[in-house]
Amino acid sequence: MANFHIEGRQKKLADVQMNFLWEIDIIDVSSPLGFIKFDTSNISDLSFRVKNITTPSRSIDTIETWFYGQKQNIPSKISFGNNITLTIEETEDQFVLKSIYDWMETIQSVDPLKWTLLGLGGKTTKKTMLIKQIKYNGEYTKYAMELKNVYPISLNESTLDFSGNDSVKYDIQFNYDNWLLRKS
Amino acid sequence: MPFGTNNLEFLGFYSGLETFKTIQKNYKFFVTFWDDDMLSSKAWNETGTMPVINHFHVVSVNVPQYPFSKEVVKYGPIAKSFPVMNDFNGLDIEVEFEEDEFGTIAYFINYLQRKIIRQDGTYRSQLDNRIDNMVILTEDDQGIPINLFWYKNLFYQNSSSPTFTNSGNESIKYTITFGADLMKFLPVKALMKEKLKMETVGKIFGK
Repeated sequence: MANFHIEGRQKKLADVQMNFLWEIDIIDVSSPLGFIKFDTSNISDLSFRVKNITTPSRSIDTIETWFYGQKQNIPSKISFGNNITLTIEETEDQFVLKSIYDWMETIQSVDPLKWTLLGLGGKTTKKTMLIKQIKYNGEYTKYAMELKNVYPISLNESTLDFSGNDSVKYDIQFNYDNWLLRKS
Repeated sequence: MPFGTNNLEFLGFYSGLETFKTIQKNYKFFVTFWDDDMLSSKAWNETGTMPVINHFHVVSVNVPQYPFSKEVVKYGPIAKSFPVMNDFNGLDIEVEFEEDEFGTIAYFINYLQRKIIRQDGTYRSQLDNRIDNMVILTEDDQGIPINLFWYKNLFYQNSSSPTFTNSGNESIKYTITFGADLMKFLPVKALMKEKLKMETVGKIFGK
């Protein structure tokens, strides 16, 4: 009979990965003038406040071709979901709102009084997001997801309600072009 | 042989573990513009220097081929036909470019126009009014070159007129039509395959 008792398996199998053990990190990858600090440069502080996230998708398109009445699907282009939604919990310092607002203002400003550096908008808006997962013992897992060309595309509505009993949370949708699996 | 299937034909599609049939993908290509003046340090006063056209500037390109028409001579009811190049009026190549924030493509158009005509309205020499090379390189899945379509002595014919609009949300694109007299063709991978076939056959027959 096969050795199917629990003790035998416990020694060989890794622990199950928990879906609540993770963190994100947003890195300002390209500031051409590194010494200039923008409001968004400390955006990685947001990572403590992110409540949930869906991991990015990746798929492969196919091209259909026929021969002798038979169909064949040839693997072709790679495509990504291109957006990811984060639910972020606000605190009384309104750090989330200010950070995302400032980040969006660097893309296109609606504030005529805002001073921006000419020509830097395109580069400073693009950041890299890391989705790190954590083991039950507190160590990082071997691999992390690295999302490229990340910037916010929508700050969705948040309900303020006299009859409510909840924290303020923002659903923020980010663009990404692709993602890589990196050693964390 | 399974009933209703010609095995020999079907071998080209699937054969056990391997799939032999391949297709070439229409998005695996690079277009390179090259003028010999780019090598020399002399910048023409009349035209300025040619801008560097990156591969990402080109969105799409068509690949024209030499056309032939059919000439027919009737011998009673029998038609004797042969190909002629009577209708060939040069090659027209349409390339769609995506403009960048430097205005490279608009500058390229202006550069090509200045190659043809001076600002005082006189034409420049036939030798100077064109750029030397446009090469379209196609690649397979592994990045191995398949074909080189090489157009020589390109000249500018016309460009589409893009629309700037306050209600738009698209990149600016220009479709430029080039004229070319000649085309070279280098079937890199097909030659490789034929060479391999010849060598294999040679080995079998001991040549």
